[in-house]
Amino acid sequence: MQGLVEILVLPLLGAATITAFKGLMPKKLPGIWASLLVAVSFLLSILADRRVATLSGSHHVITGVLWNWVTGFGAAIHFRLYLDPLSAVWLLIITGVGALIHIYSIGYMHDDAGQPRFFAYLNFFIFSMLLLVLAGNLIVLLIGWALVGLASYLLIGFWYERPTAVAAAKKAFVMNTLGDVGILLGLALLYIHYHGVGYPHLFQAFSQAKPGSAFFEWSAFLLYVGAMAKSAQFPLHMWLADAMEGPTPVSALIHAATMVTAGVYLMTRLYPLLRLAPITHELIGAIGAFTAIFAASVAFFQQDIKKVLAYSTLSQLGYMFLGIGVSAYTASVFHFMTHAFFKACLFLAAGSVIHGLSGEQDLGQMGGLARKMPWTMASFLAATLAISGIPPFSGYFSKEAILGQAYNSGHYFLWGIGVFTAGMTAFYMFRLFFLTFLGKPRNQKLHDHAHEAPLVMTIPVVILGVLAVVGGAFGGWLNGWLKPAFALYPGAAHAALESGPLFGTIVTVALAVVAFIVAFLLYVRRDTAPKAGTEQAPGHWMLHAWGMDLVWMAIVVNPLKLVGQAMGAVERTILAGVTGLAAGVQSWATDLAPIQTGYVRRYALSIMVGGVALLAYYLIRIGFIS
Amino acid sequence: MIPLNDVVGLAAVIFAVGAVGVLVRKNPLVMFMAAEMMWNAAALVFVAYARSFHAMTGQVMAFIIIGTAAAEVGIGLAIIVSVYHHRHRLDIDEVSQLKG
Repeated sequence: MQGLVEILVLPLLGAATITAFKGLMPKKLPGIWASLLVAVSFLLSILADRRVATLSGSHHVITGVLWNWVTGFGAAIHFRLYLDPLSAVWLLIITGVGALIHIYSIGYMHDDAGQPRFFAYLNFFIFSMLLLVLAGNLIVLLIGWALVGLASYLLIGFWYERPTAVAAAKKAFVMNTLGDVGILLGLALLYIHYHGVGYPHLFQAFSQAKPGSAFFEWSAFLLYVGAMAKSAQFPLHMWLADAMEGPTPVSALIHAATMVTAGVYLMTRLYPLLRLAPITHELIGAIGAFTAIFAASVAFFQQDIKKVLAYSTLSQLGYMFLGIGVSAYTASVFHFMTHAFFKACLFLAAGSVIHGLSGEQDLGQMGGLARKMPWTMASFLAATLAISGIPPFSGYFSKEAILGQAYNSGHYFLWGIGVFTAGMTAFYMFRLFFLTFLGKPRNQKLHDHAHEAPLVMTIPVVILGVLAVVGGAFGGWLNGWLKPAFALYPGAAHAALESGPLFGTIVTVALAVVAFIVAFLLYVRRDTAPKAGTEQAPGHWMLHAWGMDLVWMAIVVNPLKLVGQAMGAVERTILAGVTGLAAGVQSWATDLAPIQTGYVRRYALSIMVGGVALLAYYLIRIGFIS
Repeated sequence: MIPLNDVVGLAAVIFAVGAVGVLVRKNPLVMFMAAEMMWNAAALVFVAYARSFHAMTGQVMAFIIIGTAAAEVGIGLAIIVSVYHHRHRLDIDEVSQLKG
């Protein structure tokens, strides 16, 4: 337990104090206070991870029970915290990247009236996410899972006077609730079968089980539905694109670096279960690959700088799930880590651009910003190279590890999709870069007023940019670090990082370079407009995300609406009956009311007559009067 | 010693007088006195039977009746006085606003 509670409680303390005392705090204090607490939490996380590292034996786990939560019926459920090398990685990214994004937000939100509320929500999110990864059993995990959904809802709808933001928040919450239901059902299945949902207990049980039964398939699938909703896998992916209605630091922290990877965490955490459920395991990889290529195709023609990044996040999450599907667990965690660096950097740099252009997000109004914002441009370029998989930037190593393992494990089709998607990624990311920073300014007035962001925003962006460049060097460390987490249970021989065949690497990098050249020719040499290609059939469909919103409306939302209307009619019929009954009683009471005359002597006479009648009745019954 | 039947008969007569008094008089003070007679008839029956059965419980009941009657008189007289303050007349049929 040593130190875990403090890591968890500090951000919650921040949320509570800022909410309680925001009226008393000077304007800048909430941001500084919130950032400070998360930074302290980060330092404590490093200390906790060092303690995990020094533990001896094969069992690198710090765990402890905060209190006995549900006792008295069935197996007791404890409020247990649990830190092992896997959650340690998440801990570092959440608090580390979280602290940088908090600091960035001080600059980004400096003139927003709701600033204290923003930082309270942000700290609350950090707390919820830490609870999710530090949970020692699935029920505590579900609490954290639901709370990050709530934090995401609050932050997407932060500018609640915008109807689009409110609608997006609602959509995200409803879709995530679908996932919460999946997790609840999945853990209920496991609880009924194993009388407990603690990780050590479950892993013990899984290690003795035989694979392939329907029970494992269903529990794994239900838990995967939860991961699918949180990590925006097809077909539960649309909320993530709409979630860009929130402030940009929120998109960076929640909808790129941390919360959307909770699904990856859950799946890697429960990998012994996945190995018992081969069909679900394959399905995860297939859906991941499909999500990757689907989202990449949608990102091709987006007109909004944040929308491109949102769909690229979807695509990268698809890669992570592809990695899980082919048992490349360490590679997935590695890609999560590098993705947190480069995607947070991209979002924050995009935020600086939006900030510099006084709120403009449309690519059609940008262009030629490289001179105006050199630091932002350099960081954005580094992160773009990383996400495109150009060696030696960080994304190259993690993506290569996933693709290599996909090839080695015989998933040639998924490998092919992954390689092709890597090329697409390079194209749309460089399109975004060229349209934003190079070429001629498309809106001279905005361009003249553009300026580099203040230092408080630039420094976090540059730090993340540097991490995006050198992040690949963490791979070797991560491999050794995660070995105890994945090697503790049988059947995890392929969990470690593997390299694929050389020709695969060459094809991937060559595709990325070709995509880069094509993007350069199209958007720098020929100066193509951002809107080009969106009128004809494929581009139009890609711009509108292949109409998935309409499909959902037709298949799910509208039938449910019809069911709801039918239920409403039934309810109104029943309520009409109840109302009629009440009206009958009321009219009866009105008829009886005149009996109460107000004359006391009449009451006395009634009582007396009644008493005499009762007396006479009993006297007749006993035969006194005949 | 007076026979039990005579005492109970006396009590019945007192009770009947009280009941008729409550029903026919319109002055609340007189109605109150009549009601007191009914209370006391009941108490008399208790005491008579207690003596006849050589049991103390009936006498206890008589004390409870006296106590309850005293409390009732206290409240009732207060109400009557305040009604008199308002109307300067005492007629039970005039106090009949509370009706359905």
